[in-house]
Amino acid sequence: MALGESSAQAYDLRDPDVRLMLQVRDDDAAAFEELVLRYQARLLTVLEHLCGRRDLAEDLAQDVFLRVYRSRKRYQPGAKFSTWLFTIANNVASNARRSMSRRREVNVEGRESGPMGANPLDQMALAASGLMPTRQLDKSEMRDIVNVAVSALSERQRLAVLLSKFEDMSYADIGEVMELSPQAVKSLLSRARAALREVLTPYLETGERPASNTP
Amino acid sequence: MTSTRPPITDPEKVREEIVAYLDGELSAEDSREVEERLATDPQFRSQLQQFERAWRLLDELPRTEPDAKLSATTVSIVAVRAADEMQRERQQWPRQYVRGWVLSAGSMLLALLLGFGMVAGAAALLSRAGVAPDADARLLADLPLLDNLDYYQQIDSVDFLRQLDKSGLFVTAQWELAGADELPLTPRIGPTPAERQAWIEGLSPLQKKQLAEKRERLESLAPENRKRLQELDRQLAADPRAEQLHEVLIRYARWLMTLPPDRRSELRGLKPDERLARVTALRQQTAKKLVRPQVMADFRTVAEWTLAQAERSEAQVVASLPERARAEYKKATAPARRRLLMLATLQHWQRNGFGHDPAVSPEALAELKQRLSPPLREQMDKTGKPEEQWNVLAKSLLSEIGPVLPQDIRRKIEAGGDATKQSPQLFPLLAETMLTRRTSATDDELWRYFHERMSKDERDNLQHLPREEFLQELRVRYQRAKTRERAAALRGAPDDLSDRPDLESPGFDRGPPPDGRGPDPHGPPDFDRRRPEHGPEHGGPGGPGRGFPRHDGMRRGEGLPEHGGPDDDDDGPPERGGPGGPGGGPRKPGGGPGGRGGGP
Repeated sequence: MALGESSAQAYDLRDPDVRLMLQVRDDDAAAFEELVLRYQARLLTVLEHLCGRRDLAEDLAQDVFLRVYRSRKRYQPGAKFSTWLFTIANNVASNARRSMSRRREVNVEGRESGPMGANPLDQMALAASGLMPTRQLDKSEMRDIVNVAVSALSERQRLAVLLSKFEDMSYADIGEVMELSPQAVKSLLSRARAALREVLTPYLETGERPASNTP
Repeated sequence: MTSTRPPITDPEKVREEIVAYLDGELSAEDSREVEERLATDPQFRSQLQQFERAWRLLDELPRTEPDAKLSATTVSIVAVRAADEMQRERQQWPRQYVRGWVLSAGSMLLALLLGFGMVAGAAALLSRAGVAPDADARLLADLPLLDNLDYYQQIDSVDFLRQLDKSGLFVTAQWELAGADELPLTPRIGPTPAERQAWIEGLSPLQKKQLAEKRERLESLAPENRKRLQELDRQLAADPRAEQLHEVLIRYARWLMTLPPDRRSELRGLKPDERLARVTALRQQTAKKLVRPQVMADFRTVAEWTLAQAERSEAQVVASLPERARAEYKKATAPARRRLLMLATLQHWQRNGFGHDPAVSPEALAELKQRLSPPLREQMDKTGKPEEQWNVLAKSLLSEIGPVLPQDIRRKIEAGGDATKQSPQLFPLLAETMLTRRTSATDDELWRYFHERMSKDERDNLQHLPREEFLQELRVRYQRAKTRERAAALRGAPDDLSDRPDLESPGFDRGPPPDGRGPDPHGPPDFDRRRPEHGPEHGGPGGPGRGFPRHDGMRRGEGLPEHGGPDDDDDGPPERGGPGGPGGGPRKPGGGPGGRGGGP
């Protein structure tokens, strides 16, 4: 409540979710439900691609909502709600990653073996070299390849890509979530997309994949 | 339209410009530059196209669709966890700060919980190994599941529970004992974190330990199994008739425990509809065996009378004990001594009839009869001999009570060892002693033996037998194995009998039975018939089968089951027969249908 109502109202107009969050701040249970309903799928999508596991993503998402709920009294509408939410999500995911790497559990950085087998990237590199015989790709195979390509990105690149792709976030918003300057986001995304282009272009050009890649 | 700046040549910068252009992040001026270059530089254009197409491919990435209930679960889980954290924070905050926060947060939580009408399902997500949510919150969320873990494992769906509920089969407990009432149906733990916290705080140390054990058990389940239980809990909690279903669940699960394991397993294997039909049939069969208040009153009378007789001749009874048993008796606590005394007395009567010291006088028996209900008295009066009268009495009571006393009730009774409640407690304990069947605890032992100790061949052979024979044979083999174990243990450590939980009663009688009859005089009649051929194997080191009472008349060599009663179960698995050896009645698992009811 410390924040002037006028600025809160300004955000109200621009972002209905900010309005919802302000209602949550005032202990409106229905508003919280509404927020969960609105954001759960989006949050889950980003988190699942980020950590590579559905169950973990669900746990993380809940943790995110818990934090939203917990900090509602301190909420000040200073940005888009989604930016705020994904900032929390980024923190939650980072914490989880740290504690998991301490526990030597799961490598959140990417799946150890994706749908393409043990070394999808090696195989992809081979494919890119054009040295392997090819066959036509179907849609699900293509999805697998894209999945692997994305999960092969670094954590930060991946998050930037996901926010850009799924959340349609501006560099400024991504920067806010990731605590980077827009210029740093620009460079991060450009590297990420170069990596993606490198991996995916061979498939794009031929629409085919190496025959030996059959999962 | 021409640019004044030289074109960017650094490949990395070029890439950045292309990507930023595609993302709409370039200024108008920079965008124009890119567009100009696109028009004139094929390589640049091709590069941009690759970026663009690669980016478009990312549309293939799957979007995660939460299932419909996940949101509800999320809200619930957040409510539980937030409240838990609030609780902890509250303890650290300055006092004046607390009130407003807690009140508003509390009302919000309440609204959330009411809105979704469930909280328990939160467990489903919380309990997964994930972000290391704090353990307390998890415990809180899992609480209803943990509290009902044993019960949940008996059903496969809430739908089945609903059917049971509709059927009315479990609206009242089958074993409602007059005066003793049904074991309390622990109500479902409330949904709010505060209620749960209070519930935990109200637990005794033992109950807390049990809760912790259940938690470990839950954690150790296979993930899909755990999920299934959590889902069950969630569904149950969400049902408008949650309370009723919960009661039905408990009654059903308790009832199942009174069934032999093969029947339980048979039920589990059936489809819900068939299972319901089967349960209905079984319930109707056993419904006749509801214990009538009058019967319970009679039983209590008998127990008290027996104890009085026993105490009157305590010195004699104790003097007749083998030395070791005497020593045990002296060391025993008062309740245990009473029980031992009663058992020894019963055994004594069993062996010697009423005529020998400490004798039961005709007057004493007449006094007992006076206190019994007329129908029972009339039954007894049909025969003349005191022993036969006793036998009629025992038979009658057992046939009424035997089938309906479930294991968990017995344990509860044993656990509440308050001296002032001795008499009522002795009563069921006596019932236990007299019961012709030993149910679930031993069922489980038997089944464990079957699954864990038998070879696959053995199992296959057994499973080809008809059900009755299967059970008999299984018991026989189990007993045989126990005999060997015990014999080995005795050879190995002849003096170390301290780990035997049941010195109390088997020690009372070590002599070999006159007829060499083996174990389990309580077995079903057909089992009895087979016994002679198994006799030698059962007639191990210690001797006689002792059972009480014989339904077909009191016979020498058959006394009480060796175990002092349910107490034994506290110290070890009931099948640890003790010095009486295998003759002592193989804790007859399940008892089979023949054994149930203990009489006609």
